[in-house]
Amino acid sequence: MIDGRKRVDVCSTNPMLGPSLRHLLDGHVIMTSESSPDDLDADVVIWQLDEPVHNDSLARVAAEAPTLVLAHPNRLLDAVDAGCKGFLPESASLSEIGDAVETILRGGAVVPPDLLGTLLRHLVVRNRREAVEATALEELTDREMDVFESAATGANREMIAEQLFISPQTVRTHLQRVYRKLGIHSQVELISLAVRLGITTPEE
Amino acid sequence: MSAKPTRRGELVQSPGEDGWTVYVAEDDALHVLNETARAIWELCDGKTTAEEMGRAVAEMTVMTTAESIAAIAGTLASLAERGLITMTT
Repeated sequence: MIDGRKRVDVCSTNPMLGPSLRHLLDGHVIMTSESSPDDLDADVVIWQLDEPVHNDSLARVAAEAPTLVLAHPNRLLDAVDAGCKGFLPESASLSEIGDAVETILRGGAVVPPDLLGTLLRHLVVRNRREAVEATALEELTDREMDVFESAATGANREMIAEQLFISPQTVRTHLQRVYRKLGIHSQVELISLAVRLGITTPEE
Repeated sequence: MSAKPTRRGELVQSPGEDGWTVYVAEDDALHVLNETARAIWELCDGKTTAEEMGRAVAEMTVMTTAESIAAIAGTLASLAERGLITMTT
């Protein structure tokens, strides 16, 4: 049982979803939005991905509020990697959505049973990769780590040089070593790695 | 916990009313698994440790990693007892 009224933001182009959930979850405050979630202070965001949504947008919302995604099953892993707390297929019933909201409010996660195997395999592989990446990170020198962290914010070579009081050429040398040690080839990959390891967040 | 369970048998296509059916030819035996047991059984590829499974499950539940690993150990013990996996290190 959940104590107190919780705020649930329902983001969907389906005009019936919000009112239907308002009836089903009458102990909670149901708000609605259309193109993207409006209330990132909500206790749960329900986001129906009717249209293409970039993974970064998903991650930004999921970082702010526990998010339940309603979408085609081919978006499951995107949703999980973005940090969403729950996923249901678009065909989920109202009661399934309601149960999922209550589960998320209790701190749990929601995934359809038939997608469980796919998700577990993905999580095992992802955890292995992150463990390898974290170990690789430990091989960086302190200065290389400084450069890594600056580059992870999206700063270019000149900006990093200015921040660290070194020359752009020295930054270039450090970055080459960082890329080699981490097995990456670009700043885009570096930023992606930093996000996965929790060193930076997508909005930074 | 470094055991790497390996599954035995083949999944019979499409779930029935009671769950998924696994046929173990060597034993000429049929077993019915629910979705959770099937997901764990499918992870038993001889390369994935019980601890890795537990950590993955913990990410999807309110259980701590330790609780999750313990739950996985229980499920694996049940699968082993039914001859659906073998435990190797």
